[in-house]
Amino acid sequence: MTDQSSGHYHPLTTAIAEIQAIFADMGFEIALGPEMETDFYNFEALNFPPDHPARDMQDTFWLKEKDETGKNMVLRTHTSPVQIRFMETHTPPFRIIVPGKVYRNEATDATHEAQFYQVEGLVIDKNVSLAELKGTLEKFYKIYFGAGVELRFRPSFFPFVEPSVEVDIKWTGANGEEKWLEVMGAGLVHPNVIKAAGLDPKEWRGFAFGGGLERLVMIKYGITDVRQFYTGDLRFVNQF
Amino acid sequence: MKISYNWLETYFEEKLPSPEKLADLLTFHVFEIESVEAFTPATSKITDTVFDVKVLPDRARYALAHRGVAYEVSAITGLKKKPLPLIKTPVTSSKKVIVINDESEACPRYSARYVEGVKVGPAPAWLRERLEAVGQRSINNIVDAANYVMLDLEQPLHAFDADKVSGSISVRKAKKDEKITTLDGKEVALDESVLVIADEEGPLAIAGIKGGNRAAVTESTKNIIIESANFNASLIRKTTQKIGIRSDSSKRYENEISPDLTMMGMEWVTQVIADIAEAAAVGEITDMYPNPQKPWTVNVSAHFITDLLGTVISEKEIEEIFDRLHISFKKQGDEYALTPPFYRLDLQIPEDIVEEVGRIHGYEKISPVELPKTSFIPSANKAFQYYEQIRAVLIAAGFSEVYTYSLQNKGDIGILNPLASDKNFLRKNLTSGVTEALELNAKNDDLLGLDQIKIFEIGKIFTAKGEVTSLCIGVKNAKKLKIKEADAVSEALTKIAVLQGAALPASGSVVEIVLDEIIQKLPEPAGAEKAARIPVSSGIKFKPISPYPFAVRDIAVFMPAPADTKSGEDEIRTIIEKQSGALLVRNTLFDTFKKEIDGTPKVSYAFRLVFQSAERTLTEAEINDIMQKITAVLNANPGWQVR
Repeated sequence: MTDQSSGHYHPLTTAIAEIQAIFADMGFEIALGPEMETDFYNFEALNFPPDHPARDMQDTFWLKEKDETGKNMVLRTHTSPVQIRFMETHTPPFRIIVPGKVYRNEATDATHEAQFYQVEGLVIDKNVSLAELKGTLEKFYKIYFGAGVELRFRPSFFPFVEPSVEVDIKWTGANGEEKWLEVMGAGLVHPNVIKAAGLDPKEWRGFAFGGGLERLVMIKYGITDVRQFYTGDLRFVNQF
Repeated sequence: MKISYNWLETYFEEKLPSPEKLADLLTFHVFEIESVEAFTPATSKITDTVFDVKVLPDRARYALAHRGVAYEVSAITGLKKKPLPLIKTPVTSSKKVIVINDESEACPRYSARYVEGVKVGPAPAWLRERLEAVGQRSINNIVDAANYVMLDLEQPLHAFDADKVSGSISVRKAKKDEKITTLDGKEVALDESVLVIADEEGPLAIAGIKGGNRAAVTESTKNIIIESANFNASLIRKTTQKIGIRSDSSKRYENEISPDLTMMGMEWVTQVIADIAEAAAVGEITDMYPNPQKPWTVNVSAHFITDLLGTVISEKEIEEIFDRLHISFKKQGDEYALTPPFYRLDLQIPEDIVEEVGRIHGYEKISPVELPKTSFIPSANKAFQYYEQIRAVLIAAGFSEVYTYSLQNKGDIGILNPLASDKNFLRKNLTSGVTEALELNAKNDDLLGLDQIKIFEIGKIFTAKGEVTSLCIGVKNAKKLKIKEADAVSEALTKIAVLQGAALPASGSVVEIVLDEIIQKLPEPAGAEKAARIPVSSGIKFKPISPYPFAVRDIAVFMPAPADTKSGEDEIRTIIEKQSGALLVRNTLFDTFKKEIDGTPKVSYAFRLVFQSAERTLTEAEINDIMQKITAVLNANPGWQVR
């Protein structure tokens, strides 16, 4: 007495597959990276100076495990470390999309979990502009959410991009009300990051973007509690 | 950080845009305004509006103060700012503070002066209201003046009771066993990493962070020493973390403020104190500034700016933006040599200038452009493709995918600062999470409409040997079934081509395999995967999971043999659904058989009904009521018999 013959993909797996398909069409490749990271890849190479308030922007889980330099390792707080890892091992130009699990030392509630997924993007080429960043993201969101969606940039700060922007999309809810929702951080890759990864910032430029994946899925399907993604509960998974 | 609209307006000749309009302008051109709230001080009827401004680390160097926000308002709106009404207070006392500073790296600038014959008392109403608007407590006129100037200029200031200071002031590192009792009565142990302001008796203050109570300004204070100084950002931050004390001062220092602010702060606070505390005599300023901040140049070309932004902006507009931001420039061709104002320590590289021009110009004016063709050809990600292949096989075999928690109460890799005491390790297997999920789901078997729970997870596990990707498959029979759990798992494993030839784990109802080495041995995929699966349409409507218990009822009915079994099933279903309404969440046919009764061929259909409400626990009575209604309608049909 089983109602279905096939099982159900977890909605995050489907979201990653959808996002990968949309970006593959724009010439992006998938890159993955480790969840346990060194201070260098998670912070220093991304232009977070040691002992700097910028590090307070991301509540970090520190591990007892130490890296080769004797520093404690961290659970990566964002997927951005993979930008450095990819740049170190590949010759530009390139375009990558990086889905992955990240960790923040924040109290959990309906909209916050200690572990969640992000999707990161990085384009490195000879000439890359903020207008192209806008065009790329607008194209992505219109396909993922539907043509009615609008996008805007707001000034912000992340150490690894300059200019830094917050990306909002305008979403029409089930009952017709329109809201602007913050979905991503983005910007032009900071020359210090390009240099830290072993490339010449005079030769290469880039843009990068990153945002929470659950948030997109929650918006798309009207899910209100982020914790449900990780309970292993089929009352959740089997709806997708 | 709280900013008062009325306070901000005092810097301008003209009226500012309305608070709502101003909040929008700031949000889209410099920083997010998290809230806009009306405010009326307890002692007056003048309404004010308070903005909660989200100042991020880059702009914290100049915008953690009203004057910094006013600078931005002026740059964005073009409204002219009034200059700071700074008049150097004439020196009328011969007393001069002697300062010894051996730590010029930790303390790049230290200035101090005597102010004699002050009358310490409550601050005037206008000052108390200013502080109240931004959430600050009023202490006395001296301390309030210092806070006011800090919130105005971003220069932290401190005042000591001069008669409690013995001898000269030294800026030094604390000694190993020195202690200090702070203004709030907290005793703090110090060591050689902490910078203190001391006199001949010992520490007077933890430099840049918190004053001590030994020389605190009280109602009986007659003479004060004003301190205006600059401290090394990294040192202040490390010290606040070590001693566990933070303050409005330390917050500003740790973001790095310009030492050129020091003198402005000193003169401005002297003026305010002289105005409100009847100072009898003001001494000369002792200023130790061995390495003054020098102006610096940022070189950038107009085409670099427009190239990076990807939009057309005239040189005329670019130069107007520089003017509005008080960035002076020399031009040669289309190259600019820019000199930022002393407080804009965040403007160091050409990209910083690109951001300034872009944000003032307005990001909404940049039209989106698609990425051009490139020589880059994406490669396939081997691991990712093979994971997708494994998933596809398991999904087709009826397994659902779960993601469980990486943070658990046991494992090989420990967390130094866990969120909860039972989440202090990284998982060393997927098995424990999957096993828990199987049990949770088995309890909901009827609600899910499943006899057998079949799930899998692909995820990272962390062992002493390192971080690897693991696959875990689990089966749990919710009801007694012929298929054994371990067999269902083994059967699924044999279907996975990726695992062929690999050493499989011992059979069981939950098995786990590390994938890294297996995938490594497999060939590279043919080409970049365009899409393993086409994006699913968004037609799915998510139904929130009810926290209330569900109830199960079975009903079986004989009906005269219909033309085909399916049409009979559909007819009964329609009746059941109509009589149950929204409370019926699942309706599953679990048995049919044919029987001749009194010579008539009949078919028996047995259904399992699951009832649940999203708002409450259903009562026995209401469910029985529904069952009675269903039974009645079914029995009303000629030749039908509910069993």
